[in-house]
Amino acid sequence: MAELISITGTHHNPLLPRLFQDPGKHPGIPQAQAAFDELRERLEADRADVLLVVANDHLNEIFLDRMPPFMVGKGRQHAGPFDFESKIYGLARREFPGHPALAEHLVRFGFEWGADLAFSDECTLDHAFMIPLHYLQPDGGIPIVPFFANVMAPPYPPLRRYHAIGRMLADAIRAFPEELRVAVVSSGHLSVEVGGPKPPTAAYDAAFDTEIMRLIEARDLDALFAYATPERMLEAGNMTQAFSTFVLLAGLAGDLPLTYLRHVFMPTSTLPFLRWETEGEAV
Amino acid sequence: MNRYRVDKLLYRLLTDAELEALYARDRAAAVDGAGLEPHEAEAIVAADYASLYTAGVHPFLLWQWAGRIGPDERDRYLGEVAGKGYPSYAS
Repeated sequence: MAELISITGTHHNPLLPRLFQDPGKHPGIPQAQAAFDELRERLEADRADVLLVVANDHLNEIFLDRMPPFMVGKGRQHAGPFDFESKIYGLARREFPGHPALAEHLVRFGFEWGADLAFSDECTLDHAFMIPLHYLQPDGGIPIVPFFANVMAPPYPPLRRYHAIGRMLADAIRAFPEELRVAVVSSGHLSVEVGGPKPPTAAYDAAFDTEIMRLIEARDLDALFAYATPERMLEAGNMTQAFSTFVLLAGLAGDLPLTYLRHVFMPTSTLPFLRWETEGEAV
Repeated sequence: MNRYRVDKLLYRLLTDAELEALYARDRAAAVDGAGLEPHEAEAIVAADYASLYTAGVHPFLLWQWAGRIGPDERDRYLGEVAGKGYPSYAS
């Protein structure tokens, strides 16, 4: 049977590659670089056979004409980012083999479990997928299964649903009837405002971010659901729904020990770095 | 304002390089054929961020679009949406 080896969560600010070219500009930059390096080394040591990559499209691949809350990439190949993203962010276009058998299994397992996942046999991966792969899997080659969660277009699933879908994915991976080492790589934001009245330099809420990270560390999801009301999320920033991918990750992690936890304060956002794994000492 | 219709045009302007280039050359021509009502088309041609934001056009699309139009547009955008609160952007 397949094993769920580790779960890594990071940020996907597409400006990071450019920011990292000037590490003296802000004390957070070398801290973030060190966290990515540490998580990359740990992921390499996992010797994973396949990566499940959990992220959110930014209305690039999936638009409002059809908006699945959750979707699995089932194709034989996956590529990204979009050409305009390569141009703007300096992020190279890359290709990864898919893992159609695992992807199909996730969809079928979902039906039995009670979650009907959409699937796609051809999807381009935007920076939310490519930023974590850029830093955590720079040499490529490993098969991936992309998993899309809608955090951009209301109506959104309730936070409990993201968590439940994460639990379902963990059960599904462990029920896959092949010897396969599966690692999860994911990205999201904590509080974030894009296109609202707050300027980018005041567009995040450090108190919200610190509390969310504390509750994830404490595995107190009921307290997290009570804290992160729609009103509190909007107060924290108009696109704060983006932190739902971390709620999904907490569901995937279940009882696994949280073995890495950092949050790096940058001028425009808090960068979270998380890792859960089957073996290792909890932080 | 029909939010979906306006969101759709912004999505096309952001993802279709030819349409983006046409908008840079001839804004009215780029908007023509998108099926917008006259006041919606005018708001896109004028890059009237205040009207579009207040009507609930998706702020992520608006912000990306402002960044594409020109280097100073995001400053103008922030000036226009200041004090406008958080209208629902559900389509």
